This record gives sequence, structure tokens and C-alpha cells, in this order.
Amino acid sequence: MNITINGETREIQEGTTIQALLEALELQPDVTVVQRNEDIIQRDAYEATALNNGDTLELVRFVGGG
Amino acid sequence: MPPELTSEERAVYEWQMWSRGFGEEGQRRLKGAAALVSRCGGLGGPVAQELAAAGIGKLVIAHGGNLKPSDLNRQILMTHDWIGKPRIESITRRLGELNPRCEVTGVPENVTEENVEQLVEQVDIVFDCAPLFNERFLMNQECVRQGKPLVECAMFDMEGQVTVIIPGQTPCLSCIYPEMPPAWKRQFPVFGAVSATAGCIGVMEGIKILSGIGPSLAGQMLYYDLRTMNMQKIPLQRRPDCAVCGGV
Repeated sequence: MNITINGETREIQEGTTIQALLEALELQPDVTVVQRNEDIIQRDAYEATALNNGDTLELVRFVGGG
Repeated sequence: MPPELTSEERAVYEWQMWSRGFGEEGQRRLKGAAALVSRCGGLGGPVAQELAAAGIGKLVIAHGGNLKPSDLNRQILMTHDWIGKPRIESITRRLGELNPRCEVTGVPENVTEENVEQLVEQVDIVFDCAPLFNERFLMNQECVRQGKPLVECAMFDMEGQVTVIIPGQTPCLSCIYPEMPPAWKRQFPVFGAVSATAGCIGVMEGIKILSGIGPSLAGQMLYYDLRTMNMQKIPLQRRPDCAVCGGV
């Protein structure tokens, strides 16, 4: 199935959770905000939230440079 | 009561006092305010510069170390002739040239456990522009303890983020990062224009808070990516069990 991540279409396996997606993208769940179809997903729900075909995700990694 | 403006100050700040809702009252509030900026490099330099130019009454700047060539692509208050000499001296000299009406206190050290309380005590608002999370966490903790607003500005490569922390009302930095982010390094890719963008957005947040015009980014993170020109506001949530602000 296809989802859109930060404006780019990407193919993922059915049943992929947010947690699994972040791991595949090598993003640390603790410092990554996930917005799915305009809703912010709580961090403790990453593991239990499966993505659907057509989902649009915005992934934002918090940074600390000054 | 905020201090009166002199006729010279009215002339200097005239064009920004035309801004809707700001006016002479906003300018007087800015004149009566003090801000801490730490550190004062690629991000804090533009913050200090714009606050001084806009007429803030007092700046406390904390920044340690001597100037290196690799600072100069972004640290806008540093000059080539000062390589090898204390950065804070270049900063205070440049700010004094820019706006001699602004009282500048230069502290030749970065924020530490030992100095953070005394630094935050001197000001009404804090601009966090540090490149290291331990300094960011120290300022966050002290602002929560003293109940002072904190403007959080950060960047990496072409991305930047700004949020406003109002203790007791918004998430604090430890709500966003319950633990020290692993693998964060002191050195990171940076263009001066990317860090200055975060700084300038942060300054406007500070000016709005100090002058009472809004709304601010309190409780929201503004995120931008200058590579893609994507910009968005992300709502942030408090953690009831936050070790820093949970009881506030």
C-alpha cells in the first residue's frame, strides 16, 4: 500500500505500525512528532497504530542546534 | 509603569511603533524589559542583534570561549579581527555599536548549574539558543522554577523549530524531551541564514510576549524546512508526569 511521508509517496507493507515505520526510517520515536492525516499521534500509541493505504504523514524530528 | 521614551527613541523606533497593536505603549514595555540570550552564536547572535535594534532595555548575554574561524559563517556578532579572543567581547562591542541605548551585560561563560539561577533572576524572559541539550534543560528548569517565559529556538541543517514555554500553562522542554536526546552532537551542519531564521522568529515571539500583543507560539512548535520550504505548526502536549513542570 502507499502512504505519503512529508510530501513524498512511499510503498509500505500492510499492517505497518508507526513504530515500525520510524524504525525503518531510523528515526527515534522519543524525539519524533508524527502527524497523521492532520492529527498528532501520541507517542505511547506508536506501537499500536497501524497505517492505512492513503495515509498522509508529517514526521518532524526535534532538534537542538543553536 | 513602563519607562517613558525620549524624543530620540521615538525617532529611532518610529517605524515599528506603526505596527498594529504595538505602538508607543509596546515600545515602552520593550524598553522596560530585560532578556537573557544564551548562547549568542549562529542563533543567539541574530536574537541579540534584533532585540537590541528593536529597543529592548537590557540584554544579559552568556557565551564562553574564544572566537574560531569556523564560527564566522553564522555568528553574526563576531568579527574576523577577533579570532582567538573572547567571543563575548566581540558580541558586546557590536551590540554597543548597534544600539548604545541598550544596556548589555556580557557574561563570558555558558549556562551552567552554578550560574543559571543568577542569570535568569536578572531578566523577564529567556531566549534559549544553546547548541547543547544540557544547557537547554538547565534554562528550562530554571524558567519553570522562576515562572518566566522561555523562547525555545533550535535548528539542524536546514530545519528550524521555535516554541514558547509559559510555565504552568504550556508544555516545557522536558515534556517534549523526557530524556536527553541520545547521540546529539555539539557540531552540526548549519548555514547562518537557517539559524538566523529561527532566531528572528523567536525574537518576534519575545517582542509579542513582552509588549502584550499576540497570539504567540505558546504550546505550539513552529517547524520549518528551508530545503523544501515546508512550514507547519505542531500542537504540543503537557506531560502530567513531567519531572520538571508536572507540579506547576
